[in-house]
Amino acid sequence: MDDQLYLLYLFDQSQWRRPLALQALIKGKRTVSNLYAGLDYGLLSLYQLLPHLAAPKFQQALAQLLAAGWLEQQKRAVRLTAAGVAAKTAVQDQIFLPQHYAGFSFQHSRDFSNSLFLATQVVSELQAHNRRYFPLAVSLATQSRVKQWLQQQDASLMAERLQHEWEQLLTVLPAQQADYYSQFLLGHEVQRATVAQADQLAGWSSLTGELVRQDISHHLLRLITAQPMRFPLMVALWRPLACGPLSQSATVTMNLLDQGASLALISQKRRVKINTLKEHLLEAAILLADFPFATYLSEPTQQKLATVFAQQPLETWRYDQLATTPISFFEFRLYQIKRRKIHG
Amino acid sequence: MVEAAEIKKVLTQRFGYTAFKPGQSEVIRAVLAGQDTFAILPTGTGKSLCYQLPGYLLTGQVVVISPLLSLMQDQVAQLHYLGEKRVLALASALDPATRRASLARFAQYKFVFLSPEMANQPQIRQKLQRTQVALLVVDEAHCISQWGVDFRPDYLVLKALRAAIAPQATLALTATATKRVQADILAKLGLTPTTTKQIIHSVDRRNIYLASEQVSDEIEKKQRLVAWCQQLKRPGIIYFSSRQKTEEITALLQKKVTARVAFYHGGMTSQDRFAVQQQFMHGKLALICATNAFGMGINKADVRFVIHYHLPSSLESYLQEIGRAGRDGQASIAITLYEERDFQLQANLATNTLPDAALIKQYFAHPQKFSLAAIPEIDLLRFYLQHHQDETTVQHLFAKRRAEKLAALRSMLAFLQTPGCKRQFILDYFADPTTIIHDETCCDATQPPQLATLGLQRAADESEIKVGVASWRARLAAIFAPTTML
Repeated sequence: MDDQLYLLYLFDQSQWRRPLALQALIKGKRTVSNLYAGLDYGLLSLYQLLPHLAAPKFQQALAQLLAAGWLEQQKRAVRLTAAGVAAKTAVQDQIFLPQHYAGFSFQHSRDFSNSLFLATQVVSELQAHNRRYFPLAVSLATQSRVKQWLQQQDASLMAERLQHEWEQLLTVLPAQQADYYSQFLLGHEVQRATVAQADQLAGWSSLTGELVRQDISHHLLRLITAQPMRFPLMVALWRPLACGPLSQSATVTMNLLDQGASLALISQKRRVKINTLKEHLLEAAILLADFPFATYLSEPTQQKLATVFAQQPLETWRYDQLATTPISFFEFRLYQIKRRKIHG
Repeated sequence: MVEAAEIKKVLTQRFGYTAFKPGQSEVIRAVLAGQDTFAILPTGTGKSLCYQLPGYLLTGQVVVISPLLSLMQDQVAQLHYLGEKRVLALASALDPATRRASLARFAQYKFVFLSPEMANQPQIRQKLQRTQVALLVVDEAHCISQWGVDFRPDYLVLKALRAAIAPQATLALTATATKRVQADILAKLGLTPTTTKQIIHSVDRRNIYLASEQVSDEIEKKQRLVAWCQQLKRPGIIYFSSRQKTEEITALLQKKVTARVAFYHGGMTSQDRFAVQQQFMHGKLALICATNAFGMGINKADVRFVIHYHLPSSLESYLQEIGRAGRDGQASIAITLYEERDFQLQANLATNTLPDAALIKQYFAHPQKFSLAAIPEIDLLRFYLQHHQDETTVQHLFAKRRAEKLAALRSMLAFLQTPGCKRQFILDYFADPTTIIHDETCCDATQPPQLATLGLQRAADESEIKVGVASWRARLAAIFAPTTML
């Protein structure tokens, strides 16, 4: 199966979608425009799916599918043709599509995997009473996280418990996935595989391999966080990495707003422009389930917007239609987000 | 004065050795006596121990200036392996939060590894000035010399750094330096030849047989590589100058020779590089196809052969790379496969990282236009501009560097094509006074390598180990296997 066919799954026959926004979203480039595109296309969960996606590769695949007549282009947007839909159906059995991946739920899943692999190695070496070994090459931050985690555990029971937690997790995965993922585990006298080696043995392309790994790590995190009592060791490793869907800066803004501060005050205090704070609000509006739209959109403004765009499909709304009104772009976009979320 | 018995005790207890390798003891005694030292020790003789061991007997920090991130990471890993946790490596790859946290605890580290660029940063220099530095180590010191093939401009300010931090002793270490480079290293570090202890050992590695083979084209090169890999005792390393080639030839060797081959290059994640190193160290891999990113910290004693699929850029690199063979003292072989066009390929590779005359001109005319450019050529030019060099000087400098690089490559080619003894050629190049008595175990000057005579012929009945996926249950059981304390 050729990797470029994965692209078919990002597009739709009826909706025009911007490939550049999708590429940025998948790479994890967090701008309001990319996030809105993700929301609009129903693909927000793909955020950060392939952080190392090479732009030329993506563009090349896109060009191939356009040339094959499976995609068609209008200005900066692309949609599936009938032939594209047929091709998508034809390859659906050969393609691996992530089932559990949720970009915003587990933003630091990679750090978690690295922590878990290092923790497993350290516990295995401790169990073997070996102090001379090369710890897995991970960032200093991950090293210190694992060190702290280790200090909190009861050394005498750690190996048995961690093994048990791994067993509970891997049992849930399809056997091929469990075998594949376990090759990245390492310990005393047990070396891990490289991704190229594991992919080769599984018969997967490097892209498929990466999608499988991402999906597995999110699957495991779902299991761990859904039943923390069954996975106390792993939850303790995950907890310092867990965070909400917002960026750090947007989180600070939202917390200050929750505490009653005004945008002007926050701007002054944090030395951040008001426009940047509004971007934070839009990010929150897109990503939070309980965003207080009414606080930032007055009833009259909402009524006005509803009137102007009454008979118009959402994707055709343009801000210049509001030229004669005092409504700001911020309010326009916020209302658009609200409507998009309501109509799913 | 540190007693010999005390040194021996640290050697045994910390490092697990019972004896020193040639040169180590001399260097260690000199630096412990507070003497500035310049040591040329051949590859594979454990240069790191020369600063690691004194670290445990001196009060204060050991600061190591190291040219490559991968080398630094390997050295840090080695110290971690030995149970030493007070190790810090500062390179530009460090994220800001970690960097801040590390700097806050700076004085607590025993071993600090720095890239020369990092050592030149005012904030770091200030830290170093406030800390008691027992030993300043300049690793791969040949990089300091403009006459050396691996010159890095940031090394030029080490003299000032040394003066600023006033270490109790300075140790410059390298495996390869010509006479001219040796003198330059001393001058650039501000070391006085008369008061600096110079410990210079022969670069010769007697147990590595030297061979070269000219082929007519790439097809023949692949055939010869496959043939050598089938015949030679393993493990072996095959060096390439292209990342893509390491992957391509790995696939070829997997098909034709053994499944136990892996590739290794700087484009892989650190975890993947770690995995390959560990598999290799534990004998899980028979062959590695690698760029020169592989091997810095690799201390695998029983590597039986090193094959160069592409020309090394200089005799210095060649010696570094073949030096990964035969560290156990047993017979090993180094083979270079080359075709006519390799020289041009390597010449392009060696010089295309240097800014050409047009770029230098453009840069000096409008440096601000390049303020956002993050390419090595511009970084180099930026360095010289910041150090108040004018365009003419820089043009001259890079023309000279280009000529040096090409001359180094020509020496490499002359070595491969010499009708005489290859080993003697190398010694003469490095002005090593040793005279070689050539015989059939030395090099291919008089006849092609006789693998059986050398003891390097792979036994015909050595079967290939199958590679497959173990079940996850088996893997977990192996990882958590309970062992009893002996």
